[in-house]
Amino acid sequence: MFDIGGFPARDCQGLSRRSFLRVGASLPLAFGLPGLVNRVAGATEGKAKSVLLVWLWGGVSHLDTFDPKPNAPTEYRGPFSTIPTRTPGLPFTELVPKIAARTNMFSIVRSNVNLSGDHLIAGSAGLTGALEGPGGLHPPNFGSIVARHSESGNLPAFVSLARGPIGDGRGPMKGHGGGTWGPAYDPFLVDCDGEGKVEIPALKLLKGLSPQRLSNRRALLASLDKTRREVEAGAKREWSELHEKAYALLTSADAHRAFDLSEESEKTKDTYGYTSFGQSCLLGRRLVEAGVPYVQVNWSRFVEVFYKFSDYGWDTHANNFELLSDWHCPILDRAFSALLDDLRDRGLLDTTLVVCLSEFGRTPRINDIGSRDHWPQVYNSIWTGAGIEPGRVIGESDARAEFPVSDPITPATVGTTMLELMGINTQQRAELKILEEGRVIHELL
Amino acid sequence: MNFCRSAIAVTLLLLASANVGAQEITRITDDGLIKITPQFINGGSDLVYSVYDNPYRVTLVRRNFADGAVVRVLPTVETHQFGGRMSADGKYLCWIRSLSNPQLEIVIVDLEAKTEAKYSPLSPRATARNPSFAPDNSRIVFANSGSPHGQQIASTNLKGKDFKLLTASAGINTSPMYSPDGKKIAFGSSRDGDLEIYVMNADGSDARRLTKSPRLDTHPVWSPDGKRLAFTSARDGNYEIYVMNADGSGQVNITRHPEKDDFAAFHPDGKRLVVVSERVGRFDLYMIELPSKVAVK
Repeated sequence: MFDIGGFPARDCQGLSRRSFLRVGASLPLAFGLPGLVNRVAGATEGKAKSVLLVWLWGGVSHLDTFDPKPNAPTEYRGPFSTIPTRTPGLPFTELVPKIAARTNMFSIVRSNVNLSGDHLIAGSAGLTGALEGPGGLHPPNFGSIVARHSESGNLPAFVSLARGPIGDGRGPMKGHGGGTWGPAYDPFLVDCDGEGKVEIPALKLLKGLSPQRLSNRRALLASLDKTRREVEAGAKREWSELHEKAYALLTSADAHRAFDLSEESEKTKDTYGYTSFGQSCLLGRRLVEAGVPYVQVNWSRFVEVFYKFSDYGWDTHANNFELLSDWHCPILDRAFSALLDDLRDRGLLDTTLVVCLSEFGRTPRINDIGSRDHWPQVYNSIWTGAGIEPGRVIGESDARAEFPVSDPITPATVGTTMLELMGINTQQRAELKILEEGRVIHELL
Repeated sequence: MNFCRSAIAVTLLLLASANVGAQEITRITDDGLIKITPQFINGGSDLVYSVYDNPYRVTLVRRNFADGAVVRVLPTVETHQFGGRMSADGKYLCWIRSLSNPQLEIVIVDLEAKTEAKYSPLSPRATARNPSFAPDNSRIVFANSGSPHGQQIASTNLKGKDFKLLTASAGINTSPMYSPDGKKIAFGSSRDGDLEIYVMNADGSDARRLTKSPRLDTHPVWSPDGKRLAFTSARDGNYEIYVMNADGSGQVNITRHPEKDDFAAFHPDGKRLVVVSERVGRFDLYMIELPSKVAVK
């Protein structure tokens, strides 16, 4: 089932163009569709047609997953055994056996570093390549840059799969979208639940349009008219091109289909697992297959695990080891390995760059409550597709996984590599004044 | 949801193996949602467990086998609710409440007096998890972080007072459970490297290692007669439920399924286990009849 703001998308086929345009006039710019606005001049073709970023929000413990140190002292190494992978000399922990069995399909960077140990700052840096500038404004997200560069037909160019704007208990992160380029370049936010039901939170922002009301067509149209009157009473805005695009998304059968997981076989959905993350990975694959240039699959909306209303992010300050073994890693292992297989089987790895990472790792030394805290000094990322040579290990951490012993891979380097593979070259980045200091991770290619 | 309908519809027969023979497996839930820490109560007529039924809340629920009804145990609590445990006589309930990030405290509810006590770790960063009642309701045992260092096994009385530290080892200690006679505590520990199952006296003395596998072993639960333990092991490459004698001998893989099997709970008759099993990507509760050679006589 694909719902838009809570009503079945298939019912939208009958929604009148006029009514829709009235809604469009009231849509927040967060509705997105940035691919239409101020496209990068002279954009070129890269090896990648799409980027699929798997964002493990909250900070994954690198020692307990992809960079174990079994010979480190007890207060560092943690309780998990190591297992061999398909790559000789590259052990993972026992928590990710399916991913370990697929290291021939990807390369891993073991020397990522970030600029801060604060979630919101590091998250923004991790997704934009830089810290915020003067006035508290942030550079645009990698997805916003790709969207500006790309054509995406009737589909949004930058989709973020999450329950809402990602952040922590203090609020959303600044680097989630357009930043200095404005909200027109924010991602098109889509929520996918554990059954693969898709909703678009932005449409819920329309005043008075609750999912319950949207389920009733008459109530929907009444709400649209009310919204139109309110908009007309206020300052008029002309976003005709955006309206056309949004209309196409909501009413085009092809665009619908990209978001409709009911068209996937049960076997495929089974393979990913019926968790929000699992089905979001499947939706991410479906979106890149349909031609969306940048998809960010978010593990959770919030970094926190179980603080009040959080949704099991990776911020395991306490009970790291039980949480990883009971909850996080089995879900990640199943969904991400299914994603790799599915992309390969459909031939999408030739043109899809897949990057899986979080904003930082976790303290190698186990803390005073038997868990791990934030550690931006070194962590890991997984790369595959679009010309990435699989089976490689790029970079290395020291004997206790505390610091890189090779060139650190910064967020700017991550972003530069993504953009380069998407065909946004040095000159274009310079013209946009973005990631001017980044380098490409040539060791991956 | 009707238990009988859903259960009958998916009753399966696991094929015999050289180890354990034929087993009848009955699916109890069909919502597919992630579930943790099931426990039989009321002589096996009900099951209490936590289920991830809301993106922002893990909910403690009780399921009645007779009518299939599932009700919230704490209907007015909107934060996450973990680790729900009832006392053997059904007079007390304890559960884990999330406070600040990441502090977790134990709430101990006297269901007859309708009063509530709590144990909160001293550090605002610390947590108390996996509580279990002593059979005489004198104490609860739980995994306590930051006491004084790392994660150790500790206990308090049912007022949340008289804190006693029962372990002081390296590594982490987790998932403690009193034996049915109250004399022993089974728990998981990584004191010797990786997670293994240990048993110690109720006062924390004489800790002995029961498993020695190359992968994690955790979540031990006692059989009703105290002669066996069920636990989760990843020794075969994925999570399976094993049963062993209380001295660690006779370890048998009960589930033998390629997906995740975790969080076993013995039925009061000792002949069946409930397990949270992942089947084709969905997490549900399954009742597994134990092979005669490992079932409680």
